[in-house]
Amino acid sequence: MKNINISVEHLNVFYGKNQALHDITLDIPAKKVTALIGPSGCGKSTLLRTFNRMNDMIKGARIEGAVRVDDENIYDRAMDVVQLRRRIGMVFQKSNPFPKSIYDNVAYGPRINGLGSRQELDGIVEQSLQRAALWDEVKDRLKHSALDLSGGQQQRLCIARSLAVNPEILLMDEPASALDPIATAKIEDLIHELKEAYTILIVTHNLQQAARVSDYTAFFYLGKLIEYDKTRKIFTQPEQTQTEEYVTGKFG
Amino acid sequence: MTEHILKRFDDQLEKLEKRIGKMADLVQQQVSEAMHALQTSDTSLAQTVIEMDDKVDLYDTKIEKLCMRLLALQQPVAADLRMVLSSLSVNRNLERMGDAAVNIAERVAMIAPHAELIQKTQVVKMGEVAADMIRDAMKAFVNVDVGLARSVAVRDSVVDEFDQQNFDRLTARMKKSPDLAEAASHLLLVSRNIERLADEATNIAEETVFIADAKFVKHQGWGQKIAEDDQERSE
Repeated sequence: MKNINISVEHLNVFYGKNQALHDITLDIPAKKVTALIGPSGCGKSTLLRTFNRMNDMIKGARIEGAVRVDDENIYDRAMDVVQLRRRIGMVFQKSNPFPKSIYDNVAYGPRINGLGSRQELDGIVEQSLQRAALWDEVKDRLKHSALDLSGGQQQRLCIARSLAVNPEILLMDEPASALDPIATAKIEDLIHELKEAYTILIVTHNLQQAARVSDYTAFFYLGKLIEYDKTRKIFTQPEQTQTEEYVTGKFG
Repeated sequence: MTEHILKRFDDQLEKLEKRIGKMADLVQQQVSEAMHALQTSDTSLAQTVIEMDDKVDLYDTKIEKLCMRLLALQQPVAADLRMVLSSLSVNRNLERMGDAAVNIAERVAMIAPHAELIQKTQVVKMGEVAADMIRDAMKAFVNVDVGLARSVAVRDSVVDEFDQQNFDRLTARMKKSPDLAEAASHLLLVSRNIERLADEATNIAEETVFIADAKFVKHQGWGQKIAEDDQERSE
C-alpha cells in the first residue's frame, strides 16, 4: 500500500473498565475510501472517533498505542486538537446544519479560522458547495436558512461545511443512513468524486454501500480487526470465516 | 455450512441446488439413452431422448430466472455470489449437453443401416468415459470436491484422443468404401458430440474450483496442466 495517510499502531481504547478496541494496527491509504464495517458494538465508530480525538470528550475514555496522521502521532501531548480537527473533517449520521443561512454555514469554519474578506469567503463558499455537488441547487438562495433544505441537501451542506476549512481527511459516520435512495446515491457519487482530493473513512451498516463506495474495507468484530483488505477481495473472497459469515449475512 | 439470517435466502439457494440436481439427472438420462439407442439402433428410444429436451429447456429457463431473482433481490456476495454465478454457468453447460445428446439421437436412424461401423471405432468407450465425467463433475460441483473435479479435467484429454482416433479410422473407412460415407460422417459427428459432452463436464469441474477457491481456471488448459503435474510427480 503506498501513500499511507493514517497509521494506527497497536491501538487500545478503553471506556472506563470496558475495552472497546483491542490492539488495532492498520494503515489507511491517502486519497482512497476506506470503509469500516461490523455489527453494532464492534468498535468501528470508536475507531473513527479516535482519528479526530472525539473520544477525548467522553469521560473515562483512555487510549494506548499510536495514531499517526502523516507520521505525526495525534495523541502526542504537543498536538493541537483544534488544528487537528481542521485537518480532519467529520460528517455525522444526522445532518446538523447550524440554524443559519446556507452561506453562513459554509463560511463558519473559515471565519473562525480568521478569514474575513468577503471576496475570499465568497470564493470558498462557492468552491465548497461545488465540491459537495450542491452549488447548482442552492446558488440562488445562499441567504436562505439551511434548515429549509431537504435531508439529502442538508447532508451535502454539512460535507461542504467540512470541506470549507480545507481538510485532508473526511470521516463519515453513517452519512447516508437517514436519507432516501436518491439522496443516498448522490452522497455515494459525491464520495467517489471527493476521493480525488481527500482521504475518506466511512462507517456504514449498509454492506452494499461499503461495497459500492470504498476501495478498502476493514471488518471489526468485538473490538478486534478481523480482516482488512481491498474491498473487492472482502466481498468476493474474504480470507476469514468470520468475515465471510458477516458479509454473506450469516451473523450480525 | 452456517445458515443465513434470512431464511428465505437459504430456501432459494436450496431450491437452486435442487433444480440443478434434477436437471443434471435428466441430462445424464438423455446422454445414457442416446448412447444406448445408438448401440441398439433403437430409433424410438432416440425419439424419447429428443422429446426430453423440452423438459431440459424448461429447467434451463427456470434456473436462469431463479438466479436472476437471487442476484436482484438478495445481492449475494463472496461464496454465495460464486455459487449463483457458477449455477448460471453449470445450467448453460447442462443445457448444451442436452443438445449434444439430442444431436446424437437424431443420427441414430442414419447410422443404423451400417451399425457395424460403431464397433470399428472407440465411440462406445468414449461415451462411457464422457458419462462418467458428467456424473463425477456434478458430484464434485454439489459437494465442492476439488479433488474429484481435477480427476474430471484430466480425463478430457482421453476423450480428445478417442475423438482423434475415431476421425482417423472413419475417414480411412470412407476412402476405402465410399458407400459408407454417409453413415460414417454421421458417426464422426456423434464422436464430436461426445467430445463436446466431455468439454462441458470439464467446464463444470472448473466451476467447482471457482466455488471452492474463487480461482478462474477455465481457458488455461487446466486439465492438461494437472495431467503434466501428475506425470512429473510420478516420475
